Amino acid sequence: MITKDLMFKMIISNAKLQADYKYNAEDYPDCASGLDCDNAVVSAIAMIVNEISADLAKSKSVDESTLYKKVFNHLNTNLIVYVD
Amino acid sequence: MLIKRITITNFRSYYNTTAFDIDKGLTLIIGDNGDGKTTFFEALEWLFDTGMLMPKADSKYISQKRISKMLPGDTDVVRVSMDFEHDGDHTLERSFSFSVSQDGQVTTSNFDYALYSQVGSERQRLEGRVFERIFDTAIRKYSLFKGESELNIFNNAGTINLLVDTFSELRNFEPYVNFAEFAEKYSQRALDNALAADKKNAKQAKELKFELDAVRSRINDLLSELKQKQAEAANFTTLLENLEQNKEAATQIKSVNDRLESLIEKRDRLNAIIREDYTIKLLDEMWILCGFEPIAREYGEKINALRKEKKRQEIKFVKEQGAQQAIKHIQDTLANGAVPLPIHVPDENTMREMLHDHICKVCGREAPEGSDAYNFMKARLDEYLESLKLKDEDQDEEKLFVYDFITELDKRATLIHNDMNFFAKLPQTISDAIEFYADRKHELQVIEANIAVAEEDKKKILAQTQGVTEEQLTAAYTDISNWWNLKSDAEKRIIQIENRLQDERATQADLQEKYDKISLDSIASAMVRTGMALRKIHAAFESAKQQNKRDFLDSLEKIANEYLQKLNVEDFTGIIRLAERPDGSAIIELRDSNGIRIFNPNTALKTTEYMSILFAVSELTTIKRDNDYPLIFDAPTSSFASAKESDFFRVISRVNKQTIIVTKSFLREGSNGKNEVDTSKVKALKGTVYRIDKVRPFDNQDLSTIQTVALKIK
Repeated sequence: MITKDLMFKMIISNAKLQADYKYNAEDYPDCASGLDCDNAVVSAIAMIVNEISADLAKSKSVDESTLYKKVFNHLNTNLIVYVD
Repeated sequence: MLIKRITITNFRSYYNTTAFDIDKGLTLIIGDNGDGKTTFFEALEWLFDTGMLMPKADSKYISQKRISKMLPGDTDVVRVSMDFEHDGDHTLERSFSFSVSQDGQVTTSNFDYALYSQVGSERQRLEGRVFERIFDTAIRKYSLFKGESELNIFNNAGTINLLVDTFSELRNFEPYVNFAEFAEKYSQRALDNALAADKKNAKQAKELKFELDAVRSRINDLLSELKQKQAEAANFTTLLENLEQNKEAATQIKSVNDRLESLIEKRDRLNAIIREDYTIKLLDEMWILCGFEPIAREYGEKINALRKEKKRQEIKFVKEQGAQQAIKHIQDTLANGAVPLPIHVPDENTMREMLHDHICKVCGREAPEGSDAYNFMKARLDEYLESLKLKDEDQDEEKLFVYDFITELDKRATLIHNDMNFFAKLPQTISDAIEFYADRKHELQVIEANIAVAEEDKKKILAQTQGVTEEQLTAAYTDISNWWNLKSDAEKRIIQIENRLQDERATQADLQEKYDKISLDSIASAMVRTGMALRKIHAAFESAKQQNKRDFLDSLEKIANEYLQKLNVEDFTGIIRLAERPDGSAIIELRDSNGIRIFNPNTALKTTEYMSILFAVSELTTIKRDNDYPLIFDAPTSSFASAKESDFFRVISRVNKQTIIVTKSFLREGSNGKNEVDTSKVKALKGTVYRIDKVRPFDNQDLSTIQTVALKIK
């Protein structure tokens, strides 16, 4: 079973994401650290992983629309700062 | 899951209760044929069958010996239980009761399937199906194997894909990837809507979006075609590789098919020759005529006698008739007082001359017309002419044998006599025919046997061809160039598609850049950045999923090769490769160090190849699922030579893996002619060893005398 921390680490370790959004994956050891960080993309990924893994743990199907709105608004609000 | 103890009660040959303490490593259960090895395996299969939805107390599982010992009204139980460790101590138990009625009938009841959890000194009951979560069906597929042939599960891509699906955790990615795809799609839609509302850039954005949609559509079409062509090329490559490897098999198949065709033709020809129509041909036309010769001779003799008698009677009759006529003539002549001349003297012409010339040339006197002499001559001529008429009337006169049947019978006797030679030879003719047909039937049997051998040869050849069908092998002679062309066409097309894809992607990137630029200048600039981020997050999830699959295959391959080396001591092994196909499926191949595929490894190597993968799967499960499970094999080494078998078990016993193997290996013929355990070989093993045996004496035709006992010998 892939834990949420492992899933989070796998995604944020993506080289292109690290380059484009200027972060170092090693700075974020687990999902919780991602949720609290200032990098909008890292925190968006943490948000996605956290919500979906919580639903799966409860054997609930993922409410994609609700989560999309949450992630979209989060990125819309915070991402501008990081783009050149 | 670590099995600690297996207990079998009244299950088939396991009379009363037999317990096996299971080692953390290897547990070997040694027994001869019929000693209860397979029953042990079946008891575990019965215990693990979580798919059994309805309670099933099958009386076929009850020990016949136990039934034979029971009195009417007695009740006992069939039970298989397993104590194991998995986050604490548990016991899985399947059982049912059985009783014998007054009339000797056996009835079953109280079927139960339960999992017990040991909490302190208390045993807490859980439903048996909870066990599914501990040792699920997917894992069991890679855990229990009956015989070497069942190890062959990796021969089809479906099983390997299931293996990847089950153990690589690809399925865990699905909800994340699905969401990322959803988010990308909706953010793009939101951006499109925002741009459409921005009057300044709407027109240009609309045009770019139209072009972008078109290029995306073309890319999708190209990707779809690329996937198809890659699959085609891979398929033809595998086919041609297989055919290349099976060149010898193709030649052999052709030879066998030619032989079969010739044999079938001979068989048809013989079948057409053999006409054993006994009821008509032999019985009516031949057999019945065998006894006809003496009948025919008797018939001939009788007809001959009849013919003679008829002749005799005819002569007598004619004589009698002639005598009567002579008397009549004499009487007529005497009435005139003179000796009459014969009726034809003088002849007719002379008499007519005499009448014409009016002179009697007999006496020389004149006979004028109207004279007595003249009248006498005239009367004499009339009498003569009348006598001629009498002759005709004679033919219709009375005959002795009116219908002449005897003559008719005589004619038939003559015909039969002419055929006497045929009747005399009939027994010989029949005997010759029977001998002839018997020879042809024997030939037919030989041909049928040859056909069976040829068919068997064909099966053996095809069993070695790694799934290449007979049609493909046969077609190899005619279609191979066509396949080369199709493969070449597919490969050329792949290059064209890849080039076009490169161009289209460049166009897409260019258009996307322009679109993003317009977007960034618009009121929807924030949405653009969000959309781009979501697109990249989606790509990261997809990439992680693919990487996970590749990592799984690499790990599996690495661990499997380590086991393969261990299980084949000082022997050629080759290298296991888990290759991914363009369509995403994976195949298992054995290759040598130069990358050349080994198509037909010997059975022992194939068995160790599959077992290595099973060990690797099990080890990966321990790592990835934090759950170990045992491997249980029934007679997995039947194709192994003795030395290889010993090495194999020695290695298995040192592998850090719970393995239960039931086998008849390690048995050798003792001084008393009975098979006994080769203790020197057993000593070399690490683990627990049981010897199972039948209680003696027993009646080999009476199940109620069969009882398996287990003795722990190590």
